[in-house]
Amino acid sequence: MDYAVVELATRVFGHEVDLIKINEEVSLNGKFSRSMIKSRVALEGEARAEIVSATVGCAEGARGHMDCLEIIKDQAVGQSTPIVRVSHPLAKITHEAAIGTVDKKQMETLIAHGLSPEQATDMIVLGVLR
Amino acid sequence: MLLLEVRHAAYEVGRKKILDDLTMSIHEGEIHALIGTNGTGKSTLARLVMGSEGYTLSSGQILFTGQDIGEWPMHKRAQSGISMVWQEPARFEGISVRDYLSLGHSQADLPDCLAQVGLDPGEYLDRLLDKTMSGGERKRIELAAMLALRPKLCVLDEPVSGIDLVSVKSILAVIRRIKQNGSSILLITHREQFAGIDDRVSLLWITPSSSLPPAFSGMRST
Repeated sequence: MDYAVVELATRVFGHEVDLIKINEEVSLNGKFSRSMIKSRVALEGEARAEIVSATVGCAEGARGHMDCLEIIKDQAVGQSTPIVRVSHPLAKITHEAAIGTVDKKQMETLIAHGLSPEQATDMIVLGVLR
Repeated sequence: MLLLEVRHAAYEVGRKKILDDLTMSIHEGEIHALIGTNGTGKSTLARLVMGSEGYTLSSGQILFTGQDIGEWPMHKRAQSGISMVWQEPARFEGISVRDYLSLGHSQADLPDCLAQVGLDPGEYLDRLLDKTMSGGERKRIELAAMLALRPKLCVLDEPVSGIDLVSVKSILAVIRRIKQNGSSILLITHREQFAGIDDRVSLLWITPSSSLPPAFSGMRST
């Protein structure tokens, strides 16, 4: 369908031995169709997450973006696999992914306002999942 | 009364000296401007005072209200009354301006704090502090947070960077208000014209002193 718009948003908090598997795919077949796949995952304990996000651009003017952020604590393991496929020269698909511990700059900003490190971590994680 | 004393502070990264034998002090209720060109260690000093991870003096002391805080973690320093506006404030997903300004000081008049930094409370209180916010807006939110938080010592690292020239005067007025709220201020800047609001000024330079730029001549130095 031309000019179609789709947005997929995932927010998951994994604890203990949770295993989270996410597979999502968008195919932009219509002219000037647009998509956004946004994944926000926080993991603690021994939780694991495997995220596969795919976007296919098949039409003139199609624009797609994938944005994956995973925050991990303890022994948790995060994995993100973006798949970008473009079959029309005037389509464009982009992606960004970040997996790691809580951002140090964010932590220090909140701690400098009086929060403990634990409170700052909780606030950042809950904000990401909100 | 002395609030902050930095005594013969040295800080090295590897074999490179970033700060060497720095001594300065801040009294209660004063604005102390620290001026210097890029690379003289101004922001490093700010991080040493705030207690950023990985920033520990090689030698010397930092005293706050008479106590040596050199070994204190950042949260203990913050809870003792030191706070900081970073040169490039962090952005957060899912955290609103209201949430942020409420940290640790629920009594503050948040709409008034926003209005004082030139932001419409109706528009900004429920906005998110995420990447949709410009650098200038984010910096103003930080200054509003200092008005709300009222720390004993407020470290401002380049508070007018990212602010358009037209608005610089209003930001300087906000800094004065932070002082009027009872906070002492360590104002770090490389733009000497912004040091006009200070009560005292110190100059950081890379030796030899003969390389001091002419623009700095005649400034008071502690």
